[in-house]
Amino acid sequence: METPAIRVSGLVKRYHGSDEPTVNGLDLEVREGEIFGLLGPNGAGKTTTLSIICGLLKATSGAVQVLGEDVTRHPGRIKHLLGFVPQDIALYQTLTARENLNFFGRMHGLRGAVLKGRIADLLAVVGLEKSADRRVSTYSGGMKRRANLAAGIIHQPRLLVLDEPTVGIDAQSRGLIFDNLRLLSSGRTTMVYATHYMEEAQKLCTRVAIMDSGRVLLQGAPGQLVAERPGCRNLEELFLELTGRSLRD
Amino acid sequence: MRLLAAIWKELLLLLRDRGGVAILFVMPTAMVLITTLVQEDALRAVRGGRTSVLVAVAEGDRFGAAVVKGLSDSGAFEVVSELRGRPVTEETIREQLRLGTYTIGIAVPTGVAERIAAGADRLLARMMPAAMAPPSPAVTEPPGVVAAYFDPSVRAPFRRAVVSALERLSQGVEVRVMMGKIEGLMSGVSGKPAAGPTWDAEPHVAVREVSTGQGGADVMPSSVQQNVPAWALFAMFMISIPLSGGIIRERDGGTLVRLRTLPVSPATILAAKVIVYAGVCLFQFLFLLVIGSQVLPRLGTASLDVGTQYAGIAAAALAAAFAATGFGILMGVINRTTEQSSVFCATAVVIAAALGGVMVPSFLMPYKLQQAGHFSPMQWGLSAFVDLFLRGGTILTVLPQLAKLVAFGALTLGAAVLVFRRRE
Repeated sequence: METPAIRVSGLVKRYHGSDEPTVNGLDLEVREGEIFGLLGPNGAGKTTTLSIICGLLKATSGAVQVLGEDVTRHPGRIKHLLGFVPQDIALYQTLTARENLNFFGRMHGLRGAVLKGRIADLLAVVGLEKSADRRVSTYSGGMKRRANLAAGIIHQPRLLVLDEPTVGIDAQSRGLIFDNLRLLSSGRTTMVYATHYMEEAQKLCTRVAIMDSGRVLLQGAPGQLVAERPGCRNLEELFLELTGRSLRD
Repeated sequence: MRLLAAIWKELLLLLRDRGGVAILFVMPTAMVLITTLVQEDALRAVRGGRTSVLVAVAEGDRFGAAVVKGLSDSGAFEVVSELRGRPVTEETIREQLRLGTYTIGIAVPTGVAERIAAGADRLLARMMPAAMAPPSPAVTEPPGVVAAYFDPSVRAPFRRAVVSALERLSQGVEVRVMMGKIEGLMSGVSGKPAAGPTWDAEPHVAVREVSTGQGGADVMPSSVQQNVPAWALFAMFMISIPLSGGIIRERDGGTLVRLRTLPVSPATILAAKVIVYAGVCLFQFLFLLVIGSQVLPRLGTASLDVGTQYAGIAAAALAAAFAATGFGILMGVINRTTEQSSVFCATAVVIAAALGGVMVPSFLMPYKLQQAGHFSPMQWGLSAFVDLFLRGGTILTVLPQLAKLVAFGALTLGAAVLVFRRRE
């Protein structure tokens, strides 16, 4: 049987001074090569879960295996295989896109002609060749998001973790980002994709997990989950039925 | 490779931060130029340079001539008794002090020498009535008053020194006149002319100035020697503003999170910051040394003399750079926003500079503030530089100051790592 790319079991994360755990006994499994959507309202524990998977946070308890490595014990071992696209535009604003990609590429150990070629390819893929030598601070929101994605995949990671990568951008940029993610997926990159946009998840993800209050409520292929729930026409209706309509802060 | 990439990134970020570069180079240059020129006169006076003094004396007046000679011979004053070809009068003194052109003026009334001579005759007539003619009637007119004018900015100790010098000159004249009279009287009684040295030609008590500096050298720094290292240290510690700002922007913008997912150790990222900013500190130091040796002399000051202890100077600059970098990194870690960090860093650096003798030399500060200054890293650095530049200090003699700077850098850096780990 194939080893899953990510296996999380009984994951608990309680922040210092907090009464309730942010992640409370979470279990999930992500298979190699799939685009896995992590859906949930604000405060559901998505970002905390992703941070633990990436080795940025220590779990209070539970087990997290990523690409065969126990990240709770050895977070450093997966770093060369991991790409991370955070919700923030995690780029140096006063550097150009090319300079940012050059820096992050070199941090991943790329150099010389390989790095140069990779940067040129990526800039073309995310549609920033013409503005590659402009400072990121001068970019539109969509351009920044595309550059942010490029910085996360410069080293062709085996696992790409994306935290709300399309927040606040136009349909064109979103479409381009989706195309790139599908391209990456076809190249066997596994993706974990946290989003608020149900339509996005339904289009892009092979499987999704809907979580709330630090637990997974339901997981499976989007079409199958909707079909199994009578009265729900799409993922958004299913999501609202599971998580409720009350506002979340 | 990764370290080089991180260093290059830090350099690019710094060079594109125009405000940061202005803080690091433009402001200290302006400060060193202005302060050195402003303090030039004051420190020259403290060091023992000559101060210009307006003196109003009547032509041919013996006492006035003695005052002019005495002030000139003291080496402390440059006597100005003529302005634009016209003799200085009491009115001229008032006018020039009002304009601020001069700060000290002395007006000597006429006939003081004659009064002294008449006074000596009366005294001798009372002491030796048989040998002297009957005394002239008692004088009812007031004594001659030498007026000393001071600009309000002249410090009280300096005023007292000037008045004391005038009184000493006056007493010297009185003694000479009295001794002349006595000698004349004695030669009249004995029928022999007076011979041998006169009383005032033979000093019986001499005062020797002893410098406490190594080798007995004069250890008072010139304005250039005081201000160039002082403002270089100030500039070094001001790197805390762009350095902490960069760290906060990395944290707030999310790049720090991305950095932590990269296969690179936090020590590499930290080392790149320390190397770049410590390098900038050393460059600032060299830059201000060039200002002190090339630019300031063209503006009328002395040229910066750094002595010959180059290894000691390099070690002191390196230790100060490390201390400044550690401080900047700690500020970046503990402050939440760039605004908070800018205000905190600027305030802390200005206070440390004031206590450390950067703005006003420590030896001019009250004792308690001098003691408080011993807690300022800038005082440690400045003390090391002044020792190396002026007092014949070596790398060994300034080791205590260097050790304090390195310990400060290590402590702040260690604290930054601890706080960072706690928060993350």
